Amino acid sequence: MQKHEGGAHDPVLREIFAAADTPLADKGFSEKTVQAAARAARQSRRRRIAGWSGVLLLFLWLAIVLGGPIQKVAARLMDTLMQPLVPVHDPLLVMLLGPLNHLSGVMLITGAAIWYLYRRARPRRRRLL
Amino acid sequence: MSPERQPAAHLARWSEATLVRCAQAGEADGFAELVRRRQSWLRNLMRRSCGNGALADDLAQEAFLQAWRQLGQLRTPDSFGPWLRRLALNIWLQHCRRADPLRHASEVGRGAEEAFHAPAATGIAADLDRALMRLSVAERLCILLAYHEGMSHAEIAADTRLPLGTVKSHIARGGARLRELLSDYRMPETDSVKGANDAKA
Repeated sequence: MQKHEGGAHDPVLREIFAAADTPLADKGFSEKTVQAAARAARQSRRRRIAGWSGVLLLFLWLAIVLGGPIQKVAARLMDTLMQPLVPVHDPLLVMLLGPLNHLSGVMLITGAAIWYLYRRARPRRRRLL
Repeated sequence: MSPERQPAAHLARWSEATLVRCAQAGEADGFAELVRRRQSWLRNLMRRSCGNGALADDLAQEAFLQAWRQLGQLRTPDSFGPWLRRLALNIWLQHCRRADPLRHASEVGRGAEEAFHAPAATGIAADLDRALMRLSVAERLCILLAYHEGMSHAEIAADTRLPLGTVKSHIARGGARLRELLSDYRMPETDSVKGANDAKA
C-alpha cells in the first residue's frame, strides 16, 4: 500500500474511484434546481410577510383591546418589582445596594447565574461533519 | 431575489469565487452558473454516498437549495466547494439517520439493501456503488472523503471532528472490504482498472 499525503491511499482504489467519476450530463438538473430555488425564495418571502403581518395585527389588536388593563398591570408589576427588599436609609448604601435591593435585580442575577451554569454544564455535541 | 433566469454566457468565464460573491449579492445568474458548474461533481459524490441515482439527485438538489439559502453565511467565497460538500454530506447523513436511526447510531449497519435497487446495472461506477453500500455509513464517509475527494487522513479528521485514529481505522477497514469486493478490478498491469472494466463490459 502506498503512503500518500498523510494517509495510506491504495492506488488500485484510487484508480477505481477515478474511473467511476465520469462527468454526468445535466439533463435539466440545473434548470430544475434553479427553479426550485426560485420557488423556495418566493415561499420564504410570502411566509415572512405573512408572519410579520400577523405579528403587527396581533400587536394592534392587543393595543386596542387590552391597552388600558395591560398598562395598569404593568404599572403594578413595576411597583412590586422595584419595591426595596430591605429598607435602607443611608444614601451611599442605597447607591451601592441599588441593583440588588429589589425583586427585579434579584431575579435578573438569579437568571444570569442559572444561564451561566447551564452553559457550563451543557454537554458538547460530537460532530461528524 | 429570485434565481429563475438562465445563466448568462459571460458568467462562464468568471471564477467561482466571483460567482459566489455575485450570488451572495442576490444575483440569480451567479447562482445558476454555480449549479451548472458543480452539478456533476456533487451528483457523483451523492451517488457514491447513497448508491441510488434518483435519491442522489434529490439530495444534491436539496444541498444546492440549502446553499442558496445559507450563502450569506459563507465568509470565504474561495471555499465554496468544501462548504457545499459539507452541506451535502450533512444532508445525506440526516437522510441516513431518518431512514434508520438505530442502525446509524450503532454505526455497524450495512447499507447494501438500503438504496440500491438496480442490481442489473453494470460498469465500474455501478460496481463501486454496490461495494460502497456494503460499508457502514462512517466507513463510507471516510472512504469517500479519502478517495473521491482526495483528502488526507488529517483533513478528514478535522472536517468530521472524528479522532484521527478512528478515521484511519475506518479507511483501513473500509478499504480492505472494498478491495475484497472489487477484486475483479485488481490486475497486475498498469492499466488495471480500465482493463478490468473493458473485460466486464
